[in-house]
Amino acid sequence: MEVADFVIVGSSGGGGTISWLLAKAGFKVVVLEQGTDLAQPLSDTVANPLDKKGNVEAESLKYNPYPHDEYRFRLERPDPKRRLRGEYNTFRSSAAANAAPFNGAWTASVLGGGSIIWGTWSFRALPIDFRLRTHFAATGQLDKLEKEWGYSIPDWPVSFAEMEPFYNVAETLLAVSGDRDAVTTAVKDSAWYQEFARLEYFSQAGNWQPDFPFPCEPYPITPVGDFFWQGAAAAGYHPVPLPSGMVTPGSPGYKTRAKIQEALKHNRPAGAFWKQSAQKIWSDRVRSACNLCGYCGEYLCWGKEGPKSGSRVSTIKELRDLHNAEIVTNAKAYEIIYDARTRRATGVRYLDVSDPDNPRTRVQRGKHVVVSCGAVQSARLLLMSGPSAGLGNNNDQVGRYAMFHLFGLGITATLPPQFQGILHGEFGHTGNTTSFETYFVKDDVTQTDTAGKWWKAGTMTSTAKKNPLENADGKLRGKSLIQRPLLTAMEAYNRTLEVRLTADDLPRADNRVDLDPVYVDEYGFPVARITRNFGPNEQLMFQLVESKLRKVCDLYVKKGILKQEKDVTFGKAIVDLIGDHQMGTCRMGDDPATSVVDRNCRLHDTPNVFVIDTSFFPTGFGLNPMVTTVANALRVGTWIVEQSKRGKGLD
Amino acid sequence: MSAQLGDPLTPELRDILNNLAAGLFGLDAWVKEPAKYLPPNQNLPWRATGHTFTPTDLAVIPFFENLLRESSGDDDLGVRWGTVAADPLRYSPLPNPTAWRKNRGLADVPKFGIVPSGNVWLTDAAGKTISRVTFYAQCWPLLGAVVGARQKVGPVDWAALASDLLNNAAPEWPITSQPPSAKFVIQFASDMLYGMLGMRSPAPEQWKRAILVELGEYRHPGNEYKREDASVAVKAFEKLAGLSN
Repeated sequence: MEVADFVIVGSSGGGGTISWLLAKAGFKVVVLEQGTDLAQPLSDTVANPLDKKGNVEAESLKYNPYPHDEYRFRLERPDPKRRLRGEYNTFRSSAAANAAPFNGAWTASVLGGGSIIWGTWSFRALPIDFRLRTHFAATGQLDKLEKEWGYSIPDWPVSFAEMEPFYNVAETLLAVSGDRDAVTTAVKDSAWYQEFARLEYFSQAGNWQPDFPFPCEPYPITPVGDFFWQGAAAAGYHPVPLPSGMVTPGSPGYKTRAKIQEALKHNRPAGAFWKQSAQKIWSDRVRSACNLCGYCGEYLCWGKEGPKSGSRVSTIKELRDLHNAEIVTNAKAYEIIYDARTRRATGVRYLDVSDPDNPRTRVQRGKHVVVSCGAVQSARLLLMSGPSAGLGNNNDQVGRYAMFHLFGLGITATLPPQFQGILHGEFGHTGNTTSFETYFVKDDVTQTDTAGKWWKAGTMTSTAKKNPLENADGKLRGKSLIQRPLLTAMEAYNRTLEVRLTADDLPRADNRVDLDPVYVDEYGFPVARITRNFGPNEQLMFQLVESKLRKVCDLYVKKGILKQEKDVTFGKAIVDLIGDHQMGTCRMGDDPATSVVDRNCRLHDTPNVFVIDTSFFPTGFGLNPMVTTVANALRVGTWIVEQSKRGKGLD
Repeated sequence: MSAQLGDPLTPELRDILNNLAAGLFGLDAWVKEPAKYLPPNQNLPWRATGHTFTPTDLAVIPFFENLLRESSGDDDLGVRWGTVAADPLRYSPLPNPTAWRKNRGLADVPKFGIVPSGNVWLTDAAGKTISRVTFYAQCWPLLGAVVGARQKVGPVDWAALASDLLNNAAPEWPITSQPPSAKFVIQFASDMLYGMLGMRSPAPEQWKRAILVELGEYRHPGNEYKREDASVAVKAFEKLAGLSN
């Protein structure tokens, strides 16, 4: 395509969603994805090596063992799914330190991006997440958080009410399984909710009683999920089935179109695009039900008809039906072409790395550019583009307020030997049951001025151990175990589970992404440098949550199954354990002095450039960001279509 | 002994590696421990009376030979990374990358940090990315010397040999050698684990999953379950945990 209306860099929940909506609305769209279409082999029919009957006519043709290789998907280097072969980031814990290359902060570099290997935990944000500043002002904690502790906690420029109809549609695209009433009740029964409900702003923050049902029935409870459920209930918490982006096992299949129809009937988003019938919006494809094979998070789902949700099996698949859209893989974008005279972007320069030893420079011209590379790589691309300070960076805001959630925070419990083979970590994806009880936690631990107040944390979720090879390899390399000690460690892994707290790391200007001044990638481009440290809120969190997480195990302690000190370990978050949850770096706000994009995700200083992935998040929630990313892409895409239909320019 | 690409391991080396793998894991003693977890399926060929269970049953050495072949491209990558390290801007598509960097306030002398970033599998003593076949080619003569010395004084205790290699304690493999014996044995054990747990080995179907079955791990390529399976498993858990009657 010579000149596209929109050049979209990245194909995950943000880029993959908005590219579909814009193309469906008639715009000419080109999607540039730096990785390959890793799932393409799944489209090929291969004989099932497990089929001994020689029956190649039916089911055997549907199975391809390629994505079920634990080594390839968890251990192999160069990493085939996250990093291009010559790529890396650097990390430092303060601006005073030298950054060093490290292996973190990559989401997937494949068609579908992070949405192809994500864990499918599918939460929508709560109304309070959009009004965190208002909340802490109401409780009198804002000054401490901002003036004393150095955080910058804005309200979102958009409200929960604006997002809600798009959340409904996003959940249909992601085929979220769950129990809405149970989730609502669990939230409302949580101690923090009971405490906050008396605050004046609280009920106006948004709809705390959503009644649009999840499009799929809840995912089956597994033994690991049941361990958490029983323990949490005994502790006085309120466990619920984890909302999951999976077509529920046992269902006859998932008809996205029908579910979109229900969402439109329930609360139709404003705008001409959504006035169309569902038949016009979506094809009649039927997605198949999950078969609980257990290769989900970090793996490709091998089900051809997409049991596991993600852009590649939904919006990208629909996009491929359209004549006005083009997808280019192996397209490593390195510059948004910027015309300083007009202050407009005119396209994207990229390397075709199909043959990475002999890359070719390409240019895709476009009237608008949408950046959706993940919060780390989006910031890097902007900083490598435009004026010397970077595109959208007139006020030195690009890359700031990076948030990654508190990965590593949780407890690990190892059950005694009689539970060998009982947990069945293989059923479905890693998470199974969850609770909102720790979305905010009360300081009943310290004797300082934080005592008695509620501080932001996140959801706690049961997590199965699913990768025995990766574990064994880690024990071998990390602890030099061989022979019986290694086998003992491998046995214990099978009886181990986690309760993870997906806690918020609140935004601070000094936690940022910029261009590393020294280190470059294979093609000589500066790599992204991440500067991150935990602030007082996170340090406090490590003190407060341990006892609350351990309470989940009290039931099993009482029954003589576990001993807290021996069998249950608490882990604080690890500062350089940075994965798919990348947020901030291109903060959304009304003031160009303190934000990068406006409420419609346009760069303040280059309004024909949009940033549509999680980079725009002003705050990070305490839950997986995928549903919000998809919902926001729908919201922004809808705004673009409306502006266009009204004859209003986008810039 | 030769281990060039396309030149299979010699029979002698295969024997050594099969024995070393047996010494690394001690599978037979493990499955015969009276108190060990007993898989629900009792009809398991590796537990048959009179059978000695070793990694050889799992075809780990043929798997290993295939692994050497399929990962041989890492040597080419090593050459490429050497070139980039020597001249980090060499493959830049920018017309004047030095001026571009200066304009953005970046350092005059860039570095390429792919090895410390961990996105390579194996390196030599100088930090150069190498393939498995190159890595192991350095090891075979040393391993041969260690085994040869022990064979001269009687039957080899392969478990003791594996431990000695792990502890850099085999006199015939001097600590100053590159790689040291510990690095070799850890890499070899890692590749054996891939053969035993990765389920890509050419072993017969039931044998492929033997270790996983003995661990109580049920996930495997091509498996599928129903809601009812999860429900049954939950009931079994609750019963054992005393959560149900």
